[in-house]
Amino acid sequence: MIVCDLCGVNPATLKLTQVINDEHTELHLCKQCAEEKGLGIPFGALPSTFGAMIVGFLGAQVPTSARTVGSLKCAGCGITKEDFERTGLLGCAQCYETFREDLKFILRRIHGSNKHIGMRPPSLRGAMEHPDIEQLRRQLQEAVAKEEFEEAARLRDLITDLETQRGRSKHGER
Amino acid sequence: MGSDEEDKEAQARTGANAAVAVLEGRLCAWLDGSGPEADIIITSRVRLARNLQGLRFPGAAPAEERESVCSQVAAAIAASRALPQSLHLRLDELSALDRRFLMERRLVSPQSAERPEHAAVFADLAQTLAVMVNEEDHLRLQAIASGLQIEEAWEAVRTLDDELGERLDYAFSEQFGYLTACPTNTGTGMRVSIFAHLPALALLEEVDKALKEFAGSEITVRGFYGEGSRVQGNIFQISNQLTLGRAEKAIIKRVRGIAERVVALEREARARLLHQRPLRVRDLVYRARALLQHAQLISSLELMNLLSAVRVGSELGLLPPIPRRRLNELLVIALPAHLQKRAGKEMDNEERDAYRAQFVREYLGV
Ligand SMILES: [Zn+2]
Ligand SMILES: [Zn+2]
Repeated sequence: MIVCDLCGVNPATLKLTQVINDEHTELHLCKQCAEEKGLGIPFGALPSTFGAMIVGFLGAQVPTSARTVGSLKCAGCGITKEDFERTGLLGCAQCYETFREDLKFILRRIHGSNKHIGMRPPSLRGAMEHPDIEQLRRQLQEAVAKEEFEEAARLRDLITDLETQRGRSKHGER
Repeated sequence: MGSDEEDKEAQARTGANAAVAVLEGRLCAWLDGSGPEADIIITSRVRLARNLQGLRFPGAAPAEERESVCSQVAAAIAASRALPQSLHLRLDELSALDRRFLMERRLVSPQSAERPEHAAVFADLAQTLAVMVNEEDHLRLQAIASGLQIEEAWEAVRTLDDELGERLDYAFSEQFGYLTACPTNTGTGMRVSIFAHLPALALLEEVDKALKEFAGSEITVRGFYGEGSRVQGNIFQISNQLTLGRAEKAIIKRVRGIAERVVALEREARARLLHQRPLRVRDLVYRARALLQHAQLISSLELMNLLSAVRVGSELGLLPPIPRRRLNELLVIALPAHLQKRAGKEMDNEERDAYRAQFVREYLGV
């Protein structure tokens, strides 16, 4: 009998599989726990195994050189690095500054990048709205030199997209 | 949508309980089974996570800050054209059953249903657009469309985001983009999901093979299937895994590409199934119909199983056609809170399963 991963008591009747790239994560749940987590619902949100993954990204996997030293506490919300490592959640926007060095590493581990290239809030749009293609080209060369091929492919696609967009807007289309 | 009568109805009633009453009489538009590829893709959803500058994220915020978020968002929505005729529901004014009802409508998350203090949701009457307040993040904006309509959902949620962004001070950083409570959402804060019904791939045991094809595609596939029985809903949620370092358009393009490929694989599998294993398919479909006709107790999970089989039977012409809309609707209205509200009383598991069996039989006319 397989026992429920959540309560550890009841027999598991549900297997939840999450596939990320080639990695399968499996969760065995009993009926009660499944219902509690909204799993009895066809469209219900499934519990995020990401939380647990982040905890993995923190702690052991962050090289000591990249980790913030000492027991850091965010002045904005009062959470400590230990709190963050335990829950996988940040307490406020200022945490991103407080734990900046750790986050740069963690975000890179999660997303393969730690630099936002998407939309900006309306109030911040304007000159910066259109990224500098020349700068992106330099980043592309750097990525190739560092053999970061995924990042390079991403930048290449972005540059192509931007060039097509600009080509189109020059001809007055949308 | 948007007749004068609807307008009056929404405005005449106030308070969360009245709003729930309005929703009870109105099913979500995304269940109507319309849109491209709706035989396989049930819905498309785009969700954006946003937070307000200078206030702690909901999980770390004291009551007065959570309250401040509620009133700022309410004011922004009232002043914008983003959500005309919107319903405003305070979760702390609702019973656990009503919160569960909203969860079944996908208007609140299980987390919010469990932590309703100073949490709220705004939604249009069709329930295609919604703003959840004080869930894991201050705001979760979502748009849901039926069928494969990712771009339409994106356009709707982007417009809403722009309007609210004019009035709210979003927490944003040049380096990290939109700042969220969980680092897995940082950057665009965007999650694009499609819900695909893949019975033929499941029956041929080719789901894993299909998923392997998408390895490295930066997507997450979640499915749930029970031990012992292969068919249990067969509805898979496919969404983008990464939110940082990718532009919104690139994320949409990627999920759309996967969705189209999944549709092609499932179509091909259905054709092959009919050709190679006709007895197996017919047996499955007719058994499911027989159970729907005669079973006296049907659980939510079993119902999903049965609906999957009769859906495929209907789509493949093995059964007299059942309107897709009816099948979709049952995915929501046969859930526990919906059944109990319909029955007008709280019911235990067995009572619910009995009521469900009877209700579904009548609803489908099988
Ligand atoms: Zn359990
Ligand atoms: Zn903080």
